Amino acid sequence: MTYELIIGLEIHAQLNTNSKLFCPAATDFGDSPNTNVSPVSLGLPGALPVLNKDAVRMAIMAGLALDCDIQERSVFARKNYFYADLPKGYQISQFEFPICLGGKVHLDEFNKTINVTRIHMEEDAGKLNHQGADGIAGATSSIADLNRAGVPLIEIVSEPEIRSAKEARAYMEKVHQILSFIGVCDGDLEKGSFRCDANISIRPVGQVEFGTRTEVKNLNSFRSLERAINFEMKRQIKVVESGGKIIQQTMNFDDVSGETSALRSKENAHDYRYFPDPDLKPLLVTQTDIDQVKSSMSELPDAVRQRFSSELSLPDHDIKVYLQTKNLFNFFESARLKLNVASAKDMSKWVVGELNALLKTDDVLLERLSQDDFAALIDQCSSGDISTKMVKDILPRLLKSEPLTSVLSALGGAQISNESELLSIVNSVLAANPDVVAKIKNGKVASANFLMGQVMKETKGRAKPDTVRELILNACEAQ
Amino acid sequence: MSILRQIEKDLNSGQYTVAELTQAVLKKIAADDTNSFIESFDSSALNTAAEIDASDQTSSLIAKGMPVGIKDNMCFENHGVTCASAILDGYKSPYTSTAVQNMLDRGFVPVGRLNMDEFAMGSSNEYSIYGLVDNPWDASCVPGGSSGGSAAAVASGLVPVSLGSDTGGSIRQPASFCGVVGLKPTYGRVSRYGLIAFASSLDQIGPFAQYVEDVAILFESICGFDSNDSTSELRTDQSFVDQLKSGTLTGKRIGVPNELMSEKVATSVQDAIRKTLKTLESAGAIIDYFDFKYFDEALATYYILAPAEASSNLSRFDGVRYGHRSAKGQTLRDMIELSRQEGFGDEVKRRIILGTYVLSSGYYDAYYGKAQQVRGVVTQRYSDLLNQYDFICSPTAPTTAFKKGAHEGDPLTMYLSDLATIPVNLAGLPAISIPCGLDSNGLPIGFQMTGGWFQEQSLLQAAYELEQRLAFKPKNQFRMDPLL
Amino acid sequence: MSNIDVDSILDLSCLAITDERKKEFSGQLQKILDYMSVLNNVDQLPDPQFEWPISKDVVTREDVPKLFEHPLVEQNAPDFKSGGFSVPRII
Repeated sequence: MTYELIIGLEIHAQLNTNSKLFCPAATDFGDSPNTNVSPVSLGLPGALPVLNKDAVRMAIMAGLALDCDIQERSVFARKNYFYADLPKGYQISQFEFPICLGGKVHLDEFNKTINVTRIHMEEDAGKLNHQGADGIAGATSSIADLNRAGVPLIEIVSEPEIRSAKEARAYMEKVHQILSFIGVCDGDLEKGSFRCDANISIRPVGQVEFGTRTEVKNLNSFRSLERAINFEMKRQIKVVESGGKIIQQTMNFDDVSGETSALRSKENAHDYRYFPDPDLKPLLVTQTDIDQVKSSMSELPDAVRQRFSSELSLPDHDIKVYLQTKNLFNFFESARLKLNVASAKDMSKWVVGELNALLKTDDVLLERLSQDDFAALIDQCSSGDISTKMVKDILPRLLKSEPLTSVLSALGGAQISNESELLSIVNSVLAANPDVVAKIKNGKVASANFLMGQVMKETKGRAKPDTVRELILNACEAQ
Repeated sequence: MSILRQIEKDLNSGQYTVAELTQAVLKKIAADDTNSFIESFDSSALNTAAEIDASDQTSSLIAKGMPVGIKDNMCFENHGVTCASAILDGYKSPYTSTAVQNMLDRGFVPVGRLNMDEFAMGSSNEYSIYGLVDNPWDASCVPGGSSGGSAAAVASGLVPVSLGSDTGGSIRQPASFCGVVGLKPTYGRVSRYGLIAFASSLDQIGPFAQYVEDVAILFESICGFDSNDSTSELRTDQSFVDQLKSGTLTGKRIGVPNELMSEKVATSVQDAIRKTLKTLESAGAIIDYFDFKYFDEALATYYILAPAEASSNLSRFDGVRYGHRSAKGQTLRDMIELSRQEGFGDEVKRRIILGTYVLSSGYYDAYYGKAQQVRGVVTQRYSDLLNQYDFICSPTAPTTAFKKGAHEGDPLTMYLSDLATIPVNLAGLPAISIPCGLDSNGLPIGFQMTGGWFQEQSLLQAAYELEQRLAFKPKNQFRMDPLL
Repeated sequence: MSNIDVDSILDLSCLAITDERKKEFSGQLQKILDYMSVLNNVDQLPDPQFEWPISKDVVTREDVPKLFEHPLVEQNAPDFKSGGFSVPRII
């Protein structure tokens, strides 16, 4: 029997606000426990929620970016359950009336569109630090830290239209790319800013009805999602093939063992008793509000991809890097306009390659790099005034805010392409290395590289390599 | 009459200082045996009083230094607040509620917190861990509830004014039982920030006093938009004292629901209300009777919505971050269950169970959903009626104060005593209860006037006018007695 | 509401009560719920404007962080350890 995999994803993305969804406590990650709190996020008696304007704006941005219908009226509801990381005993979420309905995400590599059912806003829970053991099991006590409690989230719910672990991963990556690129989510998976729950079921190919699904919670990397789905699929097939029945339940995925396991059944029997939060009136959004958000939004990743590919002829790899790294994208977009000689594609090669690599080291900041100097450097490289070797030497110094002109003069000036100037250096190098010259004359042309290196050394790298090479080969032949 | 104005006069003429006044009030509270105060704020009150004496700042509304009691469900930084529940035993608030802050800014001096039914659930003040409160008119009777302490403290002259909260009648019913004036403002007039929630869509803070003018002064001091409360309202009409005495009853159209002048209401109460309506008529008002049609439905609606909201509002009391924690729980779940079992009283548990039930899957539509629909119908009914009438008038409660223990074990009968006050909360309207007479046992009877949304100005004017004509004699008027 | 129902409601509301109270409560709650049947007398639907009696748009605030620190947060806690609220084991 062959089976078809049916997957629906619920992505939780933290919104990039400065303060929490319903109170002014800060949202900074990694601060000491219970310092980013307020009467509201501590769930103190008498405290009342007040909605963060920016969280609404970002939720609308996410909705527009995922092609959703923004709802004129949405309602915050209480989801009631008890847990030590949930200070009010309920989570404020949206249930019956979410802020966005009906969007879509196109997966190029599968040439397939996944429909988005809805996006709703809600608050994150706090964190429990388990004491006396690594995990919740075996712990003797737990300590609640409410710094994360109340951080704004959007939950993006897909239709169950995903059919493989690879598609699921592509979908999660695409949503991640879009939300990070438009700036509503910092996209940091390690911090848990972006995570997902997967609803997974199988059915025999040809069957119309869905099978019973399980929900794997809290997948916090693309790889975990893919692995969890593959494991869960195999597990479900094994259960069905051995005559068993899939039980609808919530599962955990263990990254170390690569296996899913069911949470205790009691935690599955939730009746959340949703009802409209009487502390918050309905959220009304006008078309004018939506238009305003729309006009303030940057270009979406798909449009950037299209433009970079057709107008600038950038390779796919470069585009991917830009879509992942917004500050690099912003830098490239304005620096490339300052080019006179080189093409945007030339510049991109340097931005995505050398510059991007340099930025991964600790104390290097893109903000310190002058766009004018960088463009001038690339121009000079393209016009042959300086070598690629020189660019590599100069770039780190520009990143330390040294002006290009002073770096160049410290190096003794621009590239030497003047043949007569180079010829005297070449001749002295040849004279000093007769054995190498002999090798070249005997046909070992590769030995010319050694001589070129010597010339470069003499000229502090400023010699134009092509010219030097030609001069060396010609001179050897003439001897 | 105004007690606050009298105190103001005395303070201005140097009869006594704010410190002396505060000291005298604290002594009265210490000597009181009606149990209306849970705790007096001795040191903070005396400090505030001394600061006021030392400062030359004045307030345009009323002289600074007026003593006030607050119900034990309003947060006041560094002061205890418990909702008269064991679950908050020992809890001190790290922040101040907006209503209390507004009052402090006006120069009021909070002298202590007042007894109440646990989490404001009750109509007799019998559900309090701090014990029963005596009705100042007859110690064997209840003061009403849930703001029983707030009403009794004013009625026995311990403080000139106090704050209570009203979810289904919790200001007006005890005002009626204790023979004082109590105002439940329009929903959204007074910030609920820092008021420990019972039912968020119904709760509203309001003032108690022996006279309408003092109610108006305290009301004006606490109301206003608050950016910390999403349900508070931004209004321009926030001055009620200036024009208080400029109203007239002439030509005012008054509607009286027939249902509240029927066998549902004690004869002696009906008689007093009829007499009061005559007084209004003789002052030029036009009296008309109508069928409201939805009293039973409103009561049922209330007893679905209020417990539903409460069941969720009270979930934060889990023994994790503050309040009572059971010593017995081995696991988190057990600890929460046992803390709540030990911390909540029976009436609170009853309402949590009821509220959880009406929200639970399979029952939501039949109860909560239906109740929301009927709430809308009741609100619409009021809207229609208030197009016809300036005020809707009725008894505040179907009876006068009942004996302690009268409704023990029979919550439904207790609930039915809120018949006249509950529909007003469902619609979010303002209503005032003023004393209009005594029954044959010498117990006071309350007259309820309901006005249109945000029509507190005309409501207070009418109540003031009526008060002058009724000339009701309070039991124990607040007096400054420096010798105490 | 049968006894079994009360148990599941108690579970949802995280409340433990004695069997005696359970019996007493179910009787009382049954009476109250019976009274609720009067709601079925109303088949009228309200005009949508009366869904929420006062104004209808939620209040929002600017996204500006504010610090809140108070010694009472720790003092009120039944068990405060390592900067957090300590609770008994979960499983």
